[in-house]
Amino acid sequence: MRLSILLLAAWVAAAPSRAWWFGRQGHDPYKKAAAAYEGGRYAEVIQDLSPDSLQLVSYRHLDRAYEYLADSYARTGRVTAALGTYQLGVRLFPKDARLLSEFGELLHQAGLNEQAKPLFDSALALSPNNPQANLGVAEIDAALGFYRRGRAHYFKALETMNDNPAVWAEYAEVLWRLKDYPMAEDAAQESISLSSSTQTEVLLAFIQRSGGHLRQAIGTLGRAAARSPERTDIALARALWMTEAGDWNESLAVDNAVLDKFPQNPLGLWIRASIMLHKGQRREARADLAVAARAQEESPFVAAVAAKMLARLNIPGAR
Amino acid sequence: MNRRLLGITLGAFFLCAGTSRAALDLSQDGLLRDHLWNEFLALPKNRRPIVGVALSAGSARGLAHIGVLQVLDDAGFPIDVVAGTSMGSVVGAVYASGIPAARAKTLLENADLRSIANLGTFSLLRLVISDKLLSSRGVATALNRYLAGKQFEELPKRFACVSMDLDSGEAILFRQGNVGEAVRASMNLPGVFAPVEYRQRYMVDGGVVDYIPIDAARIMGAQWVLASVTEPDYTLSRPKNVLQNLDQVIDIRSSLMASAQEKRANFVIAPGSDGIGMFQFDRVDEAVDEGIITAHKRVDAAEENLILFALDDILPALPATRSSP
Repeated sequence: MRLSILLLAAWVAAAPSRAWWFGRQGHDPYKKAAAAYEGGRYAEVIQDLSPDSLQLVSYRHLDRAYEYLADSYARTGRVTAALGTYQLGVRLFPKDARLLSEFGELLHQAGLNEQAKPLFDSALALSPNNPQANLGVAEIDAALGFYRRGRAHYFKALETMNDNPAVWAEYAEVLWRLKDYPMAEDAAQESISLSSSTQTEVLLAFIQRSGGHLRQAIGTLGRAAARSPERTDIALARALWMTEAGDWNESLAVDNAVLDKFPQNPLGLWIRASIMLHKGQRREARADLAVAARAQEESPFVAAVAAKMLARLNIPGAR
Repeated sequence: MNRRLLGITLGAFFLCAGTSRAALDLSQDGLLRDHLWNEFLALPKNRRPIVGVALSAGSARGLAHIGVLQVLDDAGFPIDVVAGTSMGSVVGAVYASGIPAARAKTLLENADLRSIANLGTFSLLRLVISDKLLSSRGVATALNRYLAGKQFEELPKRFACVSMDLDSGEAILFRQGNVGEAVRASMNLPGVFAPVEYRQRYMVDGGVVDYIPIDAARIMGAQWVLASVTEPDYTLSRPKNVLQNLDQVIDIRSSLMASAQEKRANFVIAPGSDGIGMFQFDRVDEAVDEGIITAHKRVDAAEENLILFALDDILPALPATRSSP
């Protein structure tokens, strides 16, 4: 495998001289491939830039030819070919920030962050404002827990990508984790104003709650729940937050609606048990906790909490 | 590149692919943890367990504690008690003085730790050639400068550090007097630094007898203790000179002690050392990053552990079995 890559690299490395030689006899396939790429006809790009045709591409277009070919492979599901093409591309053009960042992006999207990070770093060393590399580094930093560093890179990426709601939402989450609630709320609102989504509404609700606006947060969560009524997680979050606000009856109604559909839902049972405990109805609480405590595989933490509560309720003297 | 579309394609292709974003955890466990954690954080100090951290020895590797503390700070852990041994005592003293972990990193990055600890190449060369132990006075001087000469009693958080009496082999717990001098005694590596004389005793590095000061944290009143342990991986090193041999022997002894001690903690976060040598103070960044990455992966589990420990306090409707302090 490694030998074949090396041979292919050597073959491709000789491309400029061959291109120069053949270019005088045939025609450069780059223009046609570029037009196909711009038109989203990726299979055509792959055909136009076959290994033989690639030899005919003039050197000044070869970097973009590699980029279009690799990206076309990725978009048509041929990821191994895409990785190989990018690998050759960055070996031939190690100072091409676009190729480096595109290759990094492919690896990053595949969850191969350790391999992606050095490519993004190299791209940023060449072009500090490269939005894709800034975004890539920001996302990797945030995933690893480097929120402060992540914030700076998101900020840089947003200078160019300020019309991208997903990036605004990710930025909002990092700000939220850094406890900068007003800025986080602004970023989430910006994301929603560009394109509203249930997930961003939920994020906004979390930010509002952390910022001390519990009622507002419950309202926002209510809108998200109305928008995606099939989302049990949102309904359960809402029921939990209603108990935080002291709205026990409203919480019970929301929770019961979940339990009507999923009677064994461990968190739903736990919420109902805690409401029953609040009302002094320990017998009912025990029954729900006993079922929730058996859900070690589905929700180990909910099960552990339920088991511990059950043990307390079962001590002599507890009614 | 259309990132989302590509992500779906790749997600299907790479079975190993995990989410790369710090996404909201809306799982049932995640929602309950978030809810109960908020309830826990809202408890008044006198109605929740006293939370302690025990920061292990580990020389340059011990700088990873800064990263661990930063993640705990960000998650809102209400740390009441800090205990440290050796490098853990340096980081612990700075943190207990009220300097946030993120700021402590900058402070220690800017400080020339190698020269403060008198572990520059020239000093080490002199140690080997002249067979005369080095002085660790620079540690006390630098810490007293950072902490404005504070006494233990003046620190905003309860703090203690551990040293060893060279005559009796006893672990000595410092919790009174000048912080800088105590920390100097705690990180006074035997075989490198001359013993520190303190109240008619000769003190050396506490890591020899108490690698992870969990008991010290409990003596200070901590009821729930998180241990940050920078345990060395001695199997990777191949010592080539006198100092590296000494380093290796200390690492083996420390590792054995750490394995036995960490069982006494309620929760352990153990940043990997990633080959950082005992005296590689120029790798502050790497050590701190390792602390952040490891702690970030473990912080949800740490919250769950503390929530379960404090459940009686969080849910007052339950019949209590453990009285709060």
